[in-house]
Amino acid sequence: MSNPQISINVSSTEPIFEQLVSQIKYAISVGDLLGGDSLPSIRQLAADLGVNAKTVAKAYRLLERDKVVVSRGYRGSFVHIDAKSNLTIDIKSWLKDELSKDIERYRDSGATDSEIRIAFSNAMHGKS
Amino acid sequence: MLEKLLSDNYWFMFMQVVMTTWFMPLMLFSRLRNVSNSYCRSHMSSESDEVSSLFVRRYLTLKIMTLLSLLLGLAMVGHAYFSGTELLDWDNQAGLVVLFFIALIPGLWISKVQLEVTDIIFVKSSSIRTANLVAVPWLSYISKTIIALLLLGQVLFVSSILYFIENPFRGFGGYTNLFGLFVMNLIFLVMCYFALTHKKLSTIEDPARRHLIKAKNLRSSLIAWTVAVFYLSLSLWLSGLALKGYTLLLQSLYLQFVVFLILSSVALPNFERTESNLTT
Repeated sequence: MSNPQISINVSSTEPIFEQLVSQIKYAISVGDLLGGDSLPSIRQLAADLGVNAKTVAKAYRLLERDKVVVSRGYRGSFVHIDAKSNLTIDIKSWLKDELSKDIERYRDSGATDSEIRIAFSNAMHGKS
Repeated sequence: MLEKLLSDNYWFMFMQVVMTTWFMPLMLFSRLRNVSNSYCRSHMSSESDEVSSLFVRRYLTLKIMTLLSLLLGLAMVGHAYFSGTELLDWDNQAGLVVLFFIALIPGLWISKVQLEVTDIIFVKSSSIRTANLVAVPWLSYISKTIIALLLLGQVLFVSSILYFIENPFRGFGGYTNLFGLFVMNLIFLVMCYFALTHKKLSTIEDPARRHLIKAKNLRSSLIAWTVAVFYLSLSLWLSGLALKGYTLLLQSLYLQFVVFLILSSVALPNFERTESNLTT
């Protein structure tokens, strides 16, 4: 089997970490990467792609959260054993659905959009 | 006159000056020019003219710099030769180091040209970056023979120090040499780390080619490291055996080797050779 590769476009409007997440997920979905396969280290991938290590770390963190990638300390990062079945988890659309339901409830109780926005921002930043 | 030249230490000092201030910079600049032009012609034809004209402009300055360095070096050695004194009327070993630093002046200029070329390639290259999605073990970049030689050199140097602690000679630094070895190892480790992780190579689209270039850069650092350790052991033994004349010759050869490595490292990776390696 040839080495699976990742290609990103540094001039694209799509954030680099999102390109990394979607391409790693794609490589898993088509079977280029299998559960248990080791992934390049954050520094290595950042150096190869000429991007900041924090960007790659962010992508890996999101993949870990979705249980697509698992980190094993100094041994590095690996494809999660159930990665393929976990690919269907789409936290973004779940968040959107949940927030839409909540926003609808707030509107029904008479809150304006700007009040909702300010309250949401205050809650996010821990303000009273 | 020729006999005096050959019987004294001056001949290898003259050789060091000619090799490091004239021959090596011009040879490696021409290699950098050929590799860069060839790479730009085959991969970035629109920037080819810009790169060629840059080299034409910079070559004249380099020739002036190498000529001045050569004359300065020859004046230093010539003065010592005709007056029968040590270099700079001071000390031959220190003088050789001064000659080494003079030889780095054209090297700095070549390094500047290399950065200018890399910037053109970096800015104008495609915005697509490609990488392997499998972990590449760092051992895959390293030749086991060089590692074995490096370890052997370390053992040899430490054993030599332990031997000379029991049988010291005049001027022997004792355990301080071990600290020197530690610092040198640290410097070379950092060099090896940067050879593997620096980002300039990310513009090369093919990960396999990038792997070869990194392996080549790492090999250069490891060879320099190994030679440095053996050089230290050998110079320790030459001093211990009171063969000071050979110590100077060895130091001169070592410094020439270091200048060659430094100048080689500022030349762009040989894309043509890595291309042929990839196909085999």
